[in-house]
Amino acid sequence: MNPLQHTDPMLLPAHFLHSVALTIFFLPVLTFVILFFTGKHISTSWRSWLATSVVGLMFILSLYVHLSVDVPIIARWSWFSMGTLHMTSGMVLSSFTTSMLVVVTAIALMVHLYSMEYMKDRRNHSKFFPYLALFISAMIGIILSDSLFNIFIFWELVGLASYLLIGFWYQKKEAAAAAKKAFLYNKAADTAFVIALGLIFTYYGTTELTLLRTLISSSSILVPTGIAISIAVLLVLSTFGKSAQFPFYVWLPDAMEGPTPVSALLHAATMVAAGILVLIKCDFLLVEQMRWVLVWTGAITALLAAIQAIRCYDSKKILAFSTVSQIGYMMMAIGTGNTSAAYFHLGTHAFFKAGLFLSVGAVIHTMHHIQQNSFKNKIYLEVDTLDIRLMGGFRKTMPIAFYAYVACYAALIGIPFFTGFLSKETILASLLQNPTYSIPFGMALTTVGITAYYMTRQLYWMFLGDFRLAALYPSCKEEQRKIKENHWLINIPLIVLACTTLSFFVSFHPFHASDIHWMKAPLPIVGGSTSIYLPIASISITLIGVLLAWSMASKEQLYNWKQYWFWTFVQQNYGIEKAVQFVFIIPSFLIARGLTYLDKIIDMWVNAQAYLAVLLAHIVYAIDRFLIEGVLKGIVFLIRIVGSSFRSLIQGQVQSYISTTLIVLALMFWWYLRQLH
Amino acid sequence: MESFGLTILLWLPLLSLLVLLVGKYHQPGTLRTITIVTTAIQLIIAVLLFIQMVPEYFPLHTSDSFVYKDFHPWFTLPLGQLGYLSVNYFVAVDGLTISLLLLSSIVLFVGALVSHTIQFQEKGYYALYLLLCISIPGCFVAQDLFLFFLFFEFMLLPMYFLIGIWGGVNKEYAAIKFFIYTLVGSLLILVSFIILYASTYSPTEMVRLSGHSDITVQSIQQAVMDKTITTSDMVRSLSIQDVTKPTNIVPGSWLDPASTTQWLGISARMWVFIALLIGFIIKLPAIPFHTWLPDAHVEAPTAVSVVLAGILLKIGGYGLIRIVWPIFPVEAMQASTVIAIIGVVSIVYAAYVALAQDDLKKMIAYSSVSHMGFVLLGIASGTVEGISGAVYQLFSHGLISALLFILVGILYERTHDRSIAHYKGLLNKMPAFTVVVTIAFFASLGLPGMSGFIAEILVLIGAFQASQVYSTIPIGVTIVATIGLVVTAGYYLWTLQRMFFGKFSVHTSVDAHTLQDLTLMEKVVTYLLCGLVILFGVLPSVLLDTIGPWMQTWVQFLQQSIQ
Amino acid sequence: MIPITLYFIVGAVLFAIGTTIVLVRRNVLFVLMGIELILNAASINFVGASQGDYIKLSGQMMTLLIIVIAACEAVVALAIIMVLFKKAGSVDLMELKKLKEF
Repeated sequence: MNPLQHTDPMLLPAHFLHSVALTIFFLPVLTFVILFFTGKHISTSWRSWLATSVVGLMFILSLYVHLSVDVPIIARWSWFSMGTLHMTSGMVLSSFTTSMLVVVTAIALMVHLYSMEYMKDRRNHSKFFPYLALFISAMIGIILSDSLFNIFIFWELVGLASYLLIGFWYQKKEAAAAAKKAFLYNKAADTAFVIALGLIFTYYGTTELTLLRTLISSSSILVPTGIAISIAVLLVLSTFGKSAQFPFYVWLPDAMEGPTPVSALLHAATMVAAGILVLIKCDFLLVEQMRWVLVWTGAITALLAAIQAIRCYDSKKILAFSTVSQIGYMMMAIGTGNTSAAYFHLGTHAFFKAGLFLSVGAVIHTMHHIQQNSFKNKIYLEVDTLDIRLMGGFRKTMPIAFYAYVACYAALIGIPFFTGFLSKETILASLLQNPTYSIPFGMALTTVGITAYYMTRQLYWMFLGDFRLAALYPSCKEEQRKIKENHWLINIPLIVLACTTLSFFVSFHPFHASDIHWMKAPLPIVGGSTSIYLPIASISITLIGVLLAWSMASKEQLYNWKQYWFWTFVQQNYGIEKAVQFVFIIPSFLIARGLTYLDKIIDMWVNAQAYLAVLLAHIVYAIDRFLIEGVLKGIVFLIRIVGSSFRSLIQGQVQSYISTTLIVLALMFWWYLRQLH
Repeated sequence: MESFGLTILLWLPLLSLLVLLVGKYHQPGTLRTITIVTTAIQLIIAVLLFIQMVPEYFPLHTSDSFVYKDFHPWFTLPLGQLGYLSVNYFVAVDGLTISLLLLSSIVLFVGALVSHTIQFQEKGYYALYLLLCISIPGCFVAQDLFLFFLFFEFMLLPMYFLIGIWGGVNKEYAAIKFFIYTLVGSLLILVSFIILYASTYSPTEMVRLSGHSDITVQSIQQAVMDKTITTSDMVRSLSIQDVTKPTNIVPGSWLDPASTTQWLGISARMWVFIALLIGFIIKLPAIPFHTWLPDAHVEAPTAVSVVLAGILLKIGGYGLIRIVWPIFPVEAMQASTVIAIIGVVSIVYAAYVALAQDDLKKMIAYSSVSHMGFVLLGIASGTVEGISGAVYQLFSHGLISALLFILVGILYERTHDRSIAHYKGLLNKMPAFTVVVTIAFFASLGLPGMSGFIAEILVLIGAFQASQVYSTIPIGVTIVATIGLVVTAGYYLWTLQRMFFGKFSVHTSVDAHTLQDLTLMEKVVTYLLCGLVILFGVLPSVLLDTIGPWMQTWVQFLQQSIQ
Repeated sequence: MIPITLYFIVGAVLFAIGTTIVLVRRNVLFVLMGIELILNAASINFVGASQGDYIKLSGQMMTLLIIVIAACEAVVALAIIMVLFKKAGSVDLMELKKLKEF
């Protein structure tokens, strides 16, 4: 019997700032409870204002916490105990976690403001804000927790909230299926987290990250290399689910069935960011032997998702693929050990991706209104309002959405003076520093070009040219004239988010992110672009992408283009779902059916035992009936035969009785006489 | 005076039973009210006992480790060559018992609340139910195996009639199957108890019965060692306190660890261990002794399903923790790999079978089997985390399965149809019902924030630790168990998607007008259970802090025994 | 003195005649008479057998007893015959088969 490793963590009292942070965490929980239980009893606007103001308060408190935090401070409480074993939950406030808190609450605030108008007349509204609150609260839990055990709890709750929000319009079959798919893909990846958690607990005796970090850096606990690598691989695998990496990313495009503000939140701040966040937090657990897995997966995901976006016509799915692709960059950064670059990109990506989703959402909102109005006029337009082939010309009619989109677009494809450029450069530079990663670097650079291509294509089809819906359906001409800028609640978030994509917002140096002033340097940014050739190369590739898209887009056959097998393959997510279907789902059902039969067989065996017992009882009964009783009956029968055979001699006449008697007497007498002699 | 509460808790239903049987009640609902009030008082007492309980460390199964003791000599039976059987009315509560006592009070109360579906022969039903209200808590508090067995058997009989009379279409088959299965189990347990009786003696009882002040436990033990006391003069007791002490084994008897008695190459101790193990595993149940459960659950009326899944299954786990492991620690550790594998097979197997079910109640019944696999895995791990997880799973599954069966009952009561494929988009018609079902499903699939998660994660951590501490459970086995988690999520989400989401439609055999949302009474019951599930998921300290010391002494006992 | 053998011969003849009547005649009344003859045959035998017994006269005593019993018997038998005639309407023994069980 080996002694069990149990590191009992020391309990630490809470600082004032921890109470503030806890307030930030519990405010949305409170919102959730209040709104969930009041339900439809309070009006839509009340509900929206309540949720939004709570998020606003959270944002202000987060800013306060962020500005107040200097050195990391940790609080640790006992959560529950089993005898002398204590399960603790810790909270860490460092500039890293608090800046993430600011990012999440800021984007949540924008999304809330936006949703007030966007979701106003939508179905099932009473559930929307509570679910959002749950989502944000779970994400804040991941950010603040210092214990991997607690992180896992919030990790799963994020999955739950995304399940509820993706399946928000539950009447739609696709939405229900997409929600289930998202949850199951995440759950499958989460089992890796469970196993990792079990192994960490077994071999290190604690899941408190701060303690683990000191334990590992001081090498006071020796863990077999195989176990250390397994833990790292399992952790990374579990983040592949939540952060949508190859091959788990297929749930993300389907997740676009959820409302657009949810997509913005999910892609920017809450769901997919969680994986990167956890990897950054657990960076010390990622042993050197397996970091290449991260780099390669990141590169492959970035490239594959970017290729998928090229021929995509769903305005939201294009953005979804771009998210997958960008998260791939972050994975690469973590793989190279430059977690600060990953974090930097996570932060900038959060803002511009939220901006992109919200501005595209503004257009979709307008399209939706056109459809609704035609329904009112008894004209049934069975069209997909997300399809970019039906859009166009919104540059003139909706300038705010257009300019917001352009700003975020520029940030995404990496135009200088925008944030995305800075963060992407940092990642590319850190890839370049390691000569073994030349192929992933090449893939990453290619992805830069492809990103520029598909985003320009989307820009072109959505905002430029003519309004193609009106061209296809002349009945919409009337509606086209009525298109105007959206409500100010939609536009304000767009303007704010567009502003945050400007590079001076994070760094005064337009080509180098060495000086991040606003974010208070959560992590020291290392390995910014040192060479002058890297920015030149990436900018030129971007420009090539843009120009190519510009020239190709006008020529693109929108409808009857030739379907090459390659594009079909790409559109089917490279057959990942088919593979999952054939490798996991179908066998699962086969196993299920097989085991059900096995169960029936066990049951049959049990029943057979019972029948055998009953049969035995019948046999014993038969023996009793026919053998023992039979003998008795036989005796009776014999006697009866004898009696009746004699009786037949006598006919009931007195005289015959007498004569018989006399004969018998005579015989007896005769016999007696013979005896005498 | 502190045991007063325990006595009331245990025997109050007997009083109610008399009241119920003697009187004539024409007012509908009177009988139900009597039962509800009785169970409510039981619940209040159990909660008070739980709150007053102070967690303390005492060696396992010593007289100090029990609180709220109640000890009365009952009878002593001379058995010739086999000495004297001393039976005592000994009921007591400790860390393990209090959690299950609390659970059984909650579930019996809830079961009484949902008994309104019973329409005929109400008097008989409530009489049998009240009998269960005695025998189930009795089973948990009995510290004498004779008493335990008595309560154990008295639990089966009412259950048999409750299923057989008030059950569904195939009730007779299910009832007889349940009864015979469990009877086989209790037969094995009885035989084991008899062997246990023959192989142990009780020095404390001998001291108590002799009445001489100069006779001490030590002197009796010495005399037994010297063989100056023959077996026919020994006083034996089936008190758990006595039979779990290794020093109380009669030298040279079957269960003497030094004994070389073997049969088919397996020692007598191992045989008795296996017999007891199977006896309790049938009750748990685990693969392959589980087939009584789906039938019994499907045919039983709602309240009986609730009690069956909520508490009766727990007695299997309770018996393993309380009786089997402490009496045979060495054998248990030797067999722990096999037992863990049985547990893991149960988890995965039952999860897959549940995936293939079309009957909602059957699916939930199989999910029960799957969840009970975690109990077996946790007990087999022999670590503090594992055993705490196992006990927590007993508790949490009691609440969650009660909730699930109530929900199925609600649907069945309205439409008399439990087929999953016959419903679509129920959320549109029954929003409150769907919310509760979603909570229950997520609780059952182990979502954090619900009690099931704490239990399952602790069991898994414990199982991982066992590979490191005792080298018993291979890591691979535990990893296979996590597959069960994914499959469980799969069938629950699939069911949610099929039954509750999408556009509303029902099969032609279902009358859509009967689909009313939850009534006030149903809301109270289900919200109460949801609240408890979430409470014990967010604050496991409520339960674990109180029972934690007991878990630790249990593991200490195990580790001392195998050294 | 008359030899005892003659008594027995007469007795045997009377018995044979009586038995024949009992077995052969169909009328119940004749059967009754046959029985009387048999009884008389027995009486003669008794008387003949007690030839030398002058003191006790047991043969004669027995004969007197037989006569009395025969008279009683005749009364009972005639009563039965009368009832039989009333019930069955006949005294023909060939028609009276009620004694047969089935």
